[in-house]
Order: sequence, then C-alpha cells, then structure tokens
Amino acid sequence: MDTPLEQHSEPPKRPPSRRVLQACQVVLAAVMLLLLAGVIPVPEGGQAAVLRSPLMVLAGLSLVGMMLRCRWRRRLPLGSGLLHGGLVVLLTGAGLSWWGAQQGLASVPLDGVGRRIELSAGITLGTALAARNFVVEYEAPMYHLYRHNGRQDVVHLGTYPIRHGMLDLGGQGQVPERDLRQEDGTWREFHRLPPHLVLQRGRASPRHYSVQVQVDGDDWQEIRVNHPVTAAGWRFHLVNWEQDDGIATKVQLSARKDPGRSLVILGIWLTILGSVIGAVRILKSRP
Amino acid sequence: MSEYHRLIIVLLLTALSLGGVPLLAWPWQWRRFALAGATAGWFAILSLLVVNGLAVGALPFGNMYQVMVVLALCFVPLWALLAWRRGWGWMLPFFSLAQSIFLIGALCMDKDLGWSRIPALQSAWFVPHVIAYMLGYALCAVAFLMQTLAWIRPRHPEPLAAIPDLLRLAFAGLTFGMLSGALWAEDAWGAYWSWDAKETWSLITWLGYAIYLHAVQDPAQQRWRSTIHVLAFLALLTTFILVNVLPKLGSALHGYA
Repeated sequence: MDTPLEQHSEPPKRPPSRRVLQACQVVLAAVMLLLLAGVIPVPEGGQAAVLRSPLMVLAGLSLVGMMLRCRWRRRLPLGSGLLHGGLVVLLTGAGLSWWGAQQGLASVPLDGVGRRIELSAGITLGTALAARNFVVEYEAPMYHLYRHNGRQDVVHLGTYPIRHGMLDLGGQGQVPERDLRQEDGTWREFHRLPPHLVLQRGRASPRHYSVQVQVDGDDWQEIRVNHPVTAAGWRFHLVNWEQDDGIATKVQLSARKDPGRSLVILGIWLTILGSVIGAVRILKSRP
Repeated sequence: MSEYHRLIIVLLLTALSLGGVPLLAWPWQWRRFALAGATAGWFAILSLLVVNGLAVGALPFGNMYQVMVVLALCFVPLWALLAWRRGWGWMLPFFSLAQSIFLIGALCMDKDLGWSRIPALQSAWFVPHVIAYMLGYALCAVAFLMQTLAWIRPRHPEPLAAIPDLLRLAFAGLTFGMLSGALWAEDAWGAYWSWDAKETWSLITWLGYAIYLHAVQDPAQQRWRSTIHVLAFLALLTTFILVNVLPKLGSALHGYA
C-alpha cells in the first residue's frame, strides 16, 4: 500500500510495490461495490444483510493485512504512517465490537424506583436502573395557513415557523406570537384571519429533553442527547420517551457494552491526526 | 415574498456577479480587477451567511440552500491559502467558477428559513463536521473542473499536475468530516455507524478518492486516473445532493434539504 497524503514531500525508502498497490485498490473497490449493493433501496430492507455480511468482514481483514504489510515493508512519512496505523487500530476495534458488543433498548418507568430491566434484544442488563425528573422543552410550533372558499374548498397555502416573536406569512402578512397564545400560555389550535384565512397549529419539535438516571444504586446522573452516561460497564443514551395523555410515563434508553470502543476512538483520532499532518505537509511544500 | 427573501435574492445575485469577475478578467491578465471582484463577491456571500443566521436565529446550516451558501464561502479563502503557500494563484478562475456553480445552486433551492436545531444537532461536533466537509467538497469541485479543462484543452499540463495535491488536501477534509461524524454519532445515539444512506455514500466517496490517490502512485495507471477521479466525484455529488433530493435514497439521520 502507498502513501496517499504526502508521497510528494517525503519519498519513501522503497518504491511502492505495484502488486500491493493494485491489490489494495481491488479490495477498496470491492468494499465500494458491497456498499453500493447495500445502499440500493429494497422493499424488505435487506441492506444490513449486505453491509454486515461475512464478505465485508473479509474485505476489512484484507485491508488490515495489507496496511500492516505496507507499514512493515516501507517506511512511510509521519502523516501517512499515522493514517494507515489509525485505520488498522480502528478496524481492529470495529472487529471487536462486531464480535462482542451488546446493545439494546431499555424502557424505564419515570417513578424513580430501581429495577432490573431486560433490554429489547433479550439481553439482561445485570444492574438496577431507575429514572426520574424527565424534562422536555419544545420549540414554538409551525402553523399551517389555509384558505376557505366554501365548505368543500380548502386550499393549503403553506407552513410557517414563528421567529423573533412573529409568524411571518410572506405575502399574506404577519401575526404576532401573543395572538397565537391562549390565556394560559399554550398555543392556539386555530386562529382566524380575515378574509377566509385560517391558521392551524402544526408540529412542535423538542428543543431539549433530559432525565435523571440511577444505575445500581449509585448517584443520580442527568442524561440527554449527546450527553450519555457510563456506568457499570454500560453506556446509556437517551433515545425517546413514552407519554400517556400528554404526561411522560417512561423513557427509552439505549444501553451498549462495547469491548472495541476504546480502540475505535483511538483509531479515529490517529487517522484524523495523520490526515491533518499530511495536509499541513502539502501546504508547507512547494510544487 | 418576505423582506429576508428579497434581501437574500439581491445578495445572491450580487455575489454571483462580483464572484464571477475573475472568470472574465483573469484570461485578459487583469489580475487586480479579478482579485477585487473575488474579494467583493466573498464579502457578499459572507453577508448572505449573516442574513441567513439572523433569519434562522441560529447557525444557518439547516437545509441544502443554507449549506450551499456555507460551501460557496469556502472557495476564496482556500484559493488565498493555496496561492500563498503553493503559488497556485493561477487557479482563481477555477475557484471562481466552482463558487458560481454552487451560488446558482443556492439560487435555485427553496430558501426555507425555518429550522430548529434539534437536540441531536446540539453538539460541539456540528460545526467542525460541516466545515471540514465543505472544505473537502470545495477542493474536490475545483479539482473536477480542472480535470474537465484537461480533457477539453489537453495542451495545458499545469492543472492536471496540480490535481493530486488538491485531492490530497480534500481527502484530509473528507476524512475529518466522516470520522468526526462517527464520534458525534456515538455520543448522540451510541453507534458510530448506522448504515444510513448519507453515511454509506460518504464512505463510498471516501473510498473512491482513496483509490484515486493510490492510482496516482502507479505510473501504469495514468490513463485510468481521470476515470477514477470522475467516478469519485459522481459519488460525492450523490452524497451531497442526490441523497437529499431523491426520496428513495433518503437519509433518516441527515434529514436536511
């Protein structure tokens, strides 16, 4: 294998072996073809079968083998060496994850009581899990604008967001946010505008949601999207919540135990570092 | 049409006119004129970004129109960096042409200013992930235009010789973008990779350019290089545009546009 990022600035000690180069390209092309086969939309959703097939694992192993051989036989420049080494570490970690990772969804009642929960994939968590204090904040809702030209004739004119305290309806004028709120502060379902125009409340996306969780009787920790919690060897992510009559009753947590995680993260950082060093060297050299 | 939309159209047309000046001025050796046009055009795009940000009330990276404006903003600084570090000032018309193409794209897109930053997007990775991809895409677009010129006018070897180094730089952007996305996904959903359409196509694109950069090292593959380059760029276009535009290829985790 060769040094894609910086062969121009620091020539390798040994010239690239054409056979290894071509073999590497063939494997990369094979992975590309497998990915193409996997990304084609099929009704039964068979993509995962292609993308997680033994062929893909074999291609990954071949790439690791070739990169190791390349690193062994040729002295690569720093950037390229780190990039290839990082990819080897990353793929090794991914292989470990593929082999040994456990993951499933846990549906946890919001009553603050710790209980042993079985994950969706039939995996037993092995620790008690409790959740409480679920909080959700919503963005202002979108509003749909309709024109009524009679009972049967209703035309949808568009959907508009509220920004800076105003619902801007383009050429149809503007409506202040306060006109769309009821006395208790909630958003009106309908709002009439003269002549023959009606606003209907649409969806409101959650801006923020969080919950406190306790694993195995330890301290309560806040969990929110992009801020997972690690405890008892598991990483918990807040995925969703369930509600009854508008009141949240359960949260869905994704729980994952992954023996390859550290290697994948190390490999990612080495690869990023290698590619950045390679780019800097290109900018430092004159053509 | 709202005040914001009118202002956006005016700024887009201004950026297109000024940013396109190098295309006319450079061949006539009016370098200062070309440089002034490129700089003024860049400030028009910067104003556009600010207007988008004010209209959205957040970072304006929410849909294809807004992302194309961010992409268009990358060309002039990249050209300035390459002219300073590598003496590639002659590339200005290519950067100007690529910028104009994406500005025309932004002009044709639905200029929807309604976007809320959903919880998954509230991450420190969001900006570096998008910017790295935009820098990579900008360089790939310029390299593709240079490849096209090399086909039309094969007697000009200079652009052809510069393509590999341009793509090595672009590859760093694509690598950072893809892997920072994986780290971000692990924080947000607990999985580095979900085989989402956008993710898979971005890996296909990355592999395409990796094959090209390996082909560059083998003199025997000289005649195939340009073909591999074009295929990789087609994969990039699919990742960037088609996945968002074609519902059948739809991406559940990258649902902008």
